[in-house]
Amino acid sequence: MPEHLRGTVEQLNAMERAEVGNWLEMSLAQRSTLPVALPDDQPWDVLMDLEHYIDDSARRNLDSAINGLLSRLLDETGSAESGDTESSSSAEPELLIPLLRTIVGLKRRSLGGKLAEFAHRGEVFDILECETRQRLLTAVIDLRTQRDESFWTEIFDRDPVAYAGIAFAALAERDVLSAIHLLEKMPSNATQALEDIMDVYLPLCWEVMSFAERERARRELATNLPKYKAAVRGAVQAFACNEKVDLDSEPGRNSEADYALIDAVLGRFRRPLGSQMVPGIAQPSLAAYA
Amino acid sequence: MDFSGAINAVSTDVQNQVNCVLDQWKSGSDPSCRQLAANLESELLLSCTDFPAFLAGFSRELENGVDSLSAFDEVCKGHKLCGPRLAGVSPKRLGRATELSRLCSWISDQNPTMPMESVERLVRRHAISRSGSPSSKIEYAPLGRHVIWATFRNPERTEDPFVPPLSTKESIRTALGLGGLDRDTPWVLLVYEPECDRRDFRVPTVADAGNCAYFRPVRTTCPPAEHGLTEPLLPNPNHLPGQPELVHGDAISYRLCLPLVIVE
Repeated sequence: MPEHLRGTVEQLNAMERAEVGNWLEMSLAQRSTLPVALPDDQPWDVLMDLEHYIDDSARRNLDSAINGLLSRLLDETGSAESGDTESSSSAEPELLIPLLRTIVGLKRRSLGGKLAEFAHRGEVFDILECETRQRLLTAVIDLRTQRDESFWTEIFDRDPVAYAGIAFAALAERDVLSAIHLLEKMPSNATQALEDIMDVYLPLCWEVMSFAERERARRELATNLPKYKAAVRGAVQAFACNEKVDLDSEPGRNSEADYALIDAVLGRFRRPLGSQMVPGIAQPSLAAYA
Repeated sequence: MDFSGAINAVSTDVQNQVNCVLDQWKSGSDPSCRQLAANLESELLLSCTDFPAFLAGFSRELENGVDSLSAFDEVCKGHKLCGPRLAGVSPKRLGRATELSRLCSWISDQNPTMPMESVERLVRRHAISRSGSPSSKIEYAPLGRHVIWATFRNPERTEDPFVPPLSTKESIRTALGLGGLDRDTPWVLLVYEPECDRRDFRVPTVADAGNCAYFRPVRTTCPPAEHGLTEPLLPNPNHLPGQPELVHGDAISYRLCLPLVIVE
């Protein structure tokens, strides 16, 4: 264990459950000091470090504290919306953002459903600040919370400028074509989302897609290009240029069966090229280098 | 100015309060606190104006009733980048080593709409090849938060800092004194070309380090220190020397060198 963590680990191991709750809140609000590995560490960085070394009982207490604090903050937000209490926004984003980053960092997947349900309650969710809402939704993705397509299209429809990139990323995880469909509804002023999609999400998808999948996506983009708003069209064309995707070629010049055959042939010679370089994540197929 | 000069320049009340905290830290069981006390008492680079003001600020924070570490952290925030300017030729290539998860966390600070998994995949994508145009998220990726710590080669200040023997995780961890980082997780070696004036580079002080106990202040001012120096971790079997270090603000222009190097 790194020397600087020892004191806090011992302190956490000795704490009662209620004490851990108080300690967590003080730490996330930066009202008490945590042992940093680097001078610019934030509370969630340190909590991730500490989690490796605390004992099982302390880990359970920490889980319970995280769960309890999240429930409280979400409940308070709901109460504020219904006028039951004074506005809770004083606790947010001071606490909610660091808490969300902690939950994602510690991969507390069991909390994803709670976050998704909260996001679904539009009128309550919408009183949070924009960055908090965005971080809550990205946490739903990072925690691998299962939600059907309609959940994300509804999120998109609520505020395309704020949520388009997030909805695209979520949908693209299971089906790139359904994510690409969002582009038809994408407003021209969703600048940040367009940049995220064309600079990050679509290229990341592209590198793990088979030839057949790429061809389907290429056709979808080429066919719908005229329907896109000008800014979206420009962003798609820039992506195509960057990734050397030919949006002008005749649809159907090669059939899907041809591409499936190419994938199958390449698949026979596929070797674990990428896993040595990039362990732990989906690898680009050998086809990507062909 | 050294510590004794600074403590003599403040009121008796401040002296008593600061000395009381330092005594507690030195006699306590927490090695980090003992190191922070030793660092503060060894500090030489805060100016005749800054050092007494630092101690007076520490005292004021303590009077607010917060714990001593929080008070120290708070006063440090007000005295960042106050060390002397880097001397000599401006380094052309700076380097910083960190855990991959921490780099992803810095990128996430600026991109609340990006899932962390996408951030990590994007970083890893830029560690594979130089081909294609890089993502702006990586090209302009943050190098840290607020105050950036960097190392560089000396005296060959145009060269990459991460060359043998500083090419393995263990050697980098040892030489740069990065004892707080987890050796079992992937690290990323960031090398960048600063596009700023040499006057933006400072020699680090205790205020830049805040509560980080792995920092060591410059030991002498005769001759004046050109740069900071890391304290290699023990046991240091290969006798790696301390490495030059500097700090700069997070607003300078720079060009990140690609592809990134990830050390698993």
